[in-house]
Amino acid sequence: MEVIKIVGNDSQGLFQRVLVELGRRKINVEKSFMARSRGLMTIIVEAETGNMNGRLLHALMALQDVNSAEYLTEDYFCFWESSPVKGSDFIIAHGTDKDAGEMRRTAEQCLYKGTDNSAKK
Amino acid sequence: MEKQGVEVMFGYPGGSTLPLYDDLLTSDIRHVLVRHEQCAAHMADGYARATGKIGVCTSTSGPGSTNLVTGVATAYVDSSPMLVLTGQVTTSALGNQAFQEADSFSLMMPITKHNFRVLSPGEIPEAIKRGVAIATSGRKGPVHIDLPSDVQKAEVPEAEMTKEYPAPPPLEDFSYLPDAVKMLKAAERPLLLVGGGVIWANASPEVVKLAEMLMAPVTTTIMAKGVIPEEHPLSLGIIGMHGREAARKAFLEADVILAVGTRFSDRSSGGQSELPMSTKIIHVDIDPGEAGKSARTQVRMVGDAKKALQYLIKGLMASRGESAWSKRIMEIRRNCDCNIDIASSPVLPQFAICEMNRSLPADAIICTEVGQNQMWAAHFFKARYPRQFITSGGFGTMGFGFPASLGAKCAFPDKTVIDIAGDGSIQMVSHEFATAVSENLPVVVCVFNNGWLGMVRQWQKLFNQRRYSGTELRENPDFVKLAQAYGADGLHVERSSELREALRTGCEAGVPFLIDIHMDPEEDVLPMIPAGGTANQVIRGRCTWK
Repeated sequence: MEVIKIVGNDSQGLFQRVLVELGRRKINVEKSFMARSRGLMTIIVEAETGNMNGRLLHALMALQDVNSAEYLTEDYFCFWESSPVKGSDFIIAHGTDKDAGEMRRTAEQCLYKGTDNSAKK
Repeated sequence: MEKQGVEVMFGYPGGSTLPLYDDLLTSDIRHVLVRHEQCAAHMADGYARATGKIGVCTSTSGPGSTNLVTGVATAYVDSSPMLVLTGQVTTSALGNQAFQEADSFSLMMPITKHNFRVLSPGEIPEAIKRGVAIATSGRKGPVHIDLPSDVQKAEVPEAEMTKEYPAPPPLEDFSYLPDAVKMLKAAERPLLLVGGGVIWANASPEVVKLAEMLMAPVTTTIMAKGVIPEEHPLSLGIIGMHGREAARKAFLEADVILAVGTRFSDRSSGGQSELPMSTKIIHVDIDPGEAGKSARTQVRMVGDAKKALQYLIKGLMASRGESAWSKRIMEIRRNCDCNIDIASSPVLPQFAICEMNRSLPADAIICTEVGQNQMWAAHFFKARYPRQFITSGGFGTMGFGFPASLGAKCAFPDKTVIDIAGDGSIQMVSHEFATAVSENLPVVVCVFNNGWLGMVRQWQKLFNQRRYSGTELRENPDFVKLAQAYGADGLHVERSSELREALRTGCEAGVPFLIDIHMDPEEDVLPMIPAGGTANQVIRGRCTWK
């Protein structure tokens, strides 16, 4: 299982297009997350990439409006927090253990708004 | 669209494209009214393949757009640049299952390079300009624009009209060029494997030059047929399931394969298990998702085929002379022999193609349908220049050839344009004789009529113990009378001796013309390597290997 981060211009249908491209290539997407911010769209996909390896990133980069695609080497779990009263936020939690309970605890302790993880350390 | 250089648009109007069609009354763009939207897409595709320019097609919303789907997918798989305009219900009705509403945006997404759903008039210029730029740059392909009818009616702000939207930057990586040059210099048995990307890149001269510098044979996929004149001593013809045995032999004996603009399709050169472990592949492709696809690739380059070939020519500098390999290639060519030029009754399909080689003008454009007719034409027609041979290679769409020939004829009214059809495929699109007659597009349709869905029958015969199921075309119409009913003309051909005169009559008729050529259903498309098979399993038929 791989985690891929795709950043592109916030254009109509980009999220759908990325999922269609993965589906077309017989790649099972286990989880996917998307957030819009400042004209950009960040998509995080957890998928079984099969034998595509490096070529998959090239294929994703070849989609219109995709600016970058990269494998994330750390373990990421993303949560979508939504409330009709408080609004919603996209947050990413980071940890080293994929155990769900462990990750939830990690997530609860390190809530970072936005999809850019560079500011969290 | 006029400003983007669009000259012709193939389409079928409807309620949601009334504003678009109203504007066409005052436009210089020629509109060709088709009889089915699928054929509008094929005509635009044929126009694009014949010219290298963008083809444009249009339909109304709902059933109009769903009818376009097969044609758009055909263009997508063969990387043909198209602009596909569909009408849509008003923006206020979107999502309500309004009359003639379909989610065209989602339908088209997996079969287009990119698509737009225009929700305000200010977005129209961007969609058109970016659409054309995207369709015609990089790995070309169709771009779809969904146009709600209220958006079509509204006035586009003047400021939006003047904005420019340049083509996306090319994704290039030639960093391994020195390695490729070194590998080619050291190669003892180099071979060029050329695909449709070379045609789209207009890189035919570079292929011929590089082949002559290296004294390397050239084999092409069906999509690149004509990239090197097939009478050229270094041409080995097409490779693949129904390809030339000489091409397959050379492919297996080469020590370095320079593959350009090809995606190693399962029907051409995908089966590489037979290649010796020592074979090295240099793969050049403009699509980064395709470059390096083969596990044997040692050098991967991403970029335009023309540019890559020019770099390689410059890097190699010196030409080679005769070598043991060039002598071996001559021997391989001689070893492969097909005894097909036989005058008979009913007519042999291979003979019909030979007759076309002999009697058609050298610049005649040949379109094909899909099935046996396509493979006989691909194997035996001697293409002389790029874009001469137009066929649905990747998607394999029956009913492609006739409308594609009309698109090509629109682009080149002075050239002879032939559609090689089967009796199955022509019946999918025979209504387009009405378009051909009304738009004055005198193409010649040669129906290889054997009363069967021949290719499926052939597979049932060879691999299913002759258990023929659902493949006999009983009660075919009289195709000549059918053509005549539309105002076209035609002739029946039952003997080989009648064919030359029929072709001459058809080419000079001045109206669309159908030649109904009666053929023996027992004649198969051979040679053939069975699906997943190896060169040793080739079924030769009338072709022999000395």
